[in-house]
Amino acid sequence: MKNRIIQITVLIISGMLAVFNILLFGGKHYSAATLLAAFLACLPFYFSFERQNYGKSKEIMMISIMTALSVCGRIVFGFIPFFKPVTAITIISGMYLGYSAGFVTGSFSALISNIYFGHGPWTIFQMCSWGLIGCLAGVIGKKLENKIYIIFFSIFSGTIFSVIMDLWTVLNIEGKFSLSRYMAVFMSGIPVTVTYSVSNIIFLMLMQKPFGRKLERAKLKYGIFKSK
Amino acid sequence: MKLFSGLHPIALIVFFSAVIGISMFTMNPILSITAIAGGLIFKFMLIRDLSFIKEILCYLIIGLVVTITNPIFSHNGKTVLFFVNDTPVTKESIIYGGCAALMLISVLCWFSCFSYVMTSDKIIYLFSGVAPVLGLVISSSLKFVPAMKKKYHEIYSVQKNLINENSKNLSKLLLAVKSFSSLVTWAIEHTADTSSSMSSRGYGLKNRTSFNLFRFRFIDCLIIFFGAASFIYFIFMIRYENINFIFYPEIIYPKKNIGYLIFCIIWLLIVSMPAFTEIKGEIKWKLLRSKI
Repeated sequence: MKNRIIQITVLIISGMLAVFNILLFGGKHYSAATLLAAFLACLPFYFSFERQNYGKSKEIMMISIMTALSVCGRIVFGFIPFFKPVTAITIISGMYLGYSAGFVTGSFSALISNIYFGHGPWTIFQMCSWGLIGCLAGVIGKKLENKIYIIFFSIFSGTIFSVIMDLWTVLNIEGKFSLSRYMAVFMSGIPVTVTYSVSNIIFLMLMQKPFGRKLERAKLKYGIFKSK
Repeated sequence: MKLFSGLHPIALIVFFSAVIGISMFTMNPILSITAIAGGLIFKFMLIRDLSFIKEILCYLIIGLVVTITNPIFSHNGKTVLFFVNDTPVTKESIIYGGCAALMLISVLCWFSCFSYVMTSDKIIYLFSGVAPVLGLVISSSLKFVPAMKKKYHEIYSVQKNLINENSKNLSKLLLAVKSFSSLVTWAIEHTADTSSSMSSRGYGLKNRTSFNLFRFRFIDCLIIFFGAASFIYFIFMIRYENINFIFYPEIIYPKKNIGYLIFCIIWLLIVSMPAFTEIKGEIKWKLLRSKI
């Protein structure tokens, strides 16, 4: 199942990029094509989530609590810019509740928190990148309880988030991809990237153990997410 | 009177995706400026607030940054204006930067209208039609967020006072994390109650319907048809004709033939429609009120 989801995603991304961009517009208009690709990349995860959880009220409520917590975290930690627990909560959700729950938590916390912070073309990219981070955390799973893995994964997810969002910036400013501008945007964004990574490390170090214990207890107590 | 935002959510999403989609593809300052004007008037009619000026300032800054930085990265173009450190600054690249900035601003502007008009109930309605489970996730997390914020502030103020009494020197961040952790415990226990009360009321059974206030009227049909048709016409135009400016190596204007003209008229109609509807509603409201 995991392999199939990843395969479908890669296929859809590449196929849509090629078909939509070249056939319809003669190789121009990358920004809209990538937007569409990012949207389509989310769809297989949503379908599998929808099929797995239809009618299971406890699982659905648990995931919506995780989403609400990360949105709430983005709001209450508003006093430090870019220092947000969203990625950390998404990673924890992926670790303990499975990869499809991680994807949904990540992408929906982007969708819902942007109701408060304002929507834009970036919403879809945030949905995609946070979702993929959550999914990856789910695939790696319990190995992430190791401290060294946590640090590596935090830095990795902070960087990958910046990489994807900078891609959005470049494509939307210029309408096409240029490496020099991408490097410039990425370089000027390095402090933000470092803040993301540091905040991920701090939040995961502080929250992973107690949060994980609470989730494990809830899983045992209510008999949910048994398949994992 | 919020006429336009009272439309059916499906009509709204089709309309906005048509407008945002088309303005994302156009590199044509005339079309972009029309879109910005329509969007700004619509936004003003919606909010009637001074925060509107802040938004315009923000757009101006974005526009300036994009326009100025484009010549640094792009040295294409025929007309060299001057040299900076042996790299040419061309007229075309500056104009390209300006047009790209206009395009970006029009997209941002319509997105801000979109997020104002698309309130959470409409998003929930749209999702629950296609994907009931995801719709439930959205709606319940939207319900949990304000409750959690309230609970968090309760916990936080209690924790702060406790620490002051014991005269410990905890930083604000650690305090916030500590309060957040107890928020998690509360939330997880709270979920169990919610979900068991949902199951006892028959969640997940077949043939259950949900209540909403949206009615599909004739005007919604018209809007969907108009939006979809103009988007299809636009894709046709961009494939076989050309409505965009070509910048490199020199600026070429789009051919002013009949297709281009028709497209301009359709675009003017489509971007002025929301603002026009709101203004019409406002005038009607004022007239009716003065009679009383």
